[in-house]
Amino acid sequence: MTVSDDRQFEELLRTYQDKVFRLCCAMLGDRGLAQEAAQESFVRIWKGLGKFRGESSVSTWIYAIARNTCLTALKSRPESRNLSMELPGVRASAERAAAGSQGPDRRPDVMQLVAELPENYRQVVLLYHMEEKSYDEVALMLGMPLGTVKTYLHRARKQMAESLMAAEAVKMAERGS
Amino acid sequence: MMDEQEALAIISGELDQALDGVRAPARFAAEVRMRTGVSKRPEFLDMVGWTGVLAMACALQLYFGPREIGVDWFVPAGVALMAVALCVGVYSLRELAD
Repeated sequence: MTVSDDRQFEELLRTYQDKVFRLCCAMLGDRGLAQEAAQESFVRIWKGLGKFRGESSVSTWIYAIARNTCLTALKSRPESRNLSMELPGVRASAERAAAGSQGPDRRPDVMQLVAELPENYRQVVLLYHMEEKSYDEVALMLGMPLGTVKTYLHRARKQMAESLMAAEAVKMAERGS
Repeated sequence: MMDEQEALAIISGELDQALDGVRAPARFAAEVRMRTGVSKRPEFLDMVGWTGVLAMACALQLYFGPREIGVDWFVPAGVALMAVALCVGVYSLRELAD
């Protein structure tokens, strides 16, 4: 590694650390695993930097490395598909839902609805909301066509809305009886 | 009875609230540097290099410069220039640490 490579790596680390971490969070659903995978991704980026020929954009290359690292992590831990309480937002959401469960107008545990989605849908939903609702960014990060991202997001939102309406209907029926 | 639009609005609002501003942990970059062995050497070299260049410029000016200007003038000027170089170096290091 030359000084120039070190400098380039520093720039990449500074620019992409949050995005790679969010991608790993969305794919793995666990903050601790995401941190480990994101670090491993940057180690791979550092090792591969000298061989990078610029055939694709740097961001495409970096996200591909991060996705592959996450897929390796998922393969070594296939038993759990639930969102971890350590994922950013999950604990807060669960606490809000639990706190509200005593009152008459309880707020929904949306993260639970997200956890029930198929894996592809869940990744798109999480990343879409973490990346300030940019379809293009989500497509780039997940390496999917833009149309697929929109389709997955539409289906995921529809499924979650249906689950929420069904839960609300059950709740109203319970109140009525 | 809740309709689909209302359900979607609730879901979107809750997800925005839960997932907004997710960032890598504070020590993330430092831990990556530890694992890769990447150091802050370039920034140190920058700092040392620019300080050296400025010191050399001051020395040359002192040697070849016009004699009518008092020599005493160059010492504080050299120190000031080196202080500026040092500040730039420290600033780049702090930025790197962030």
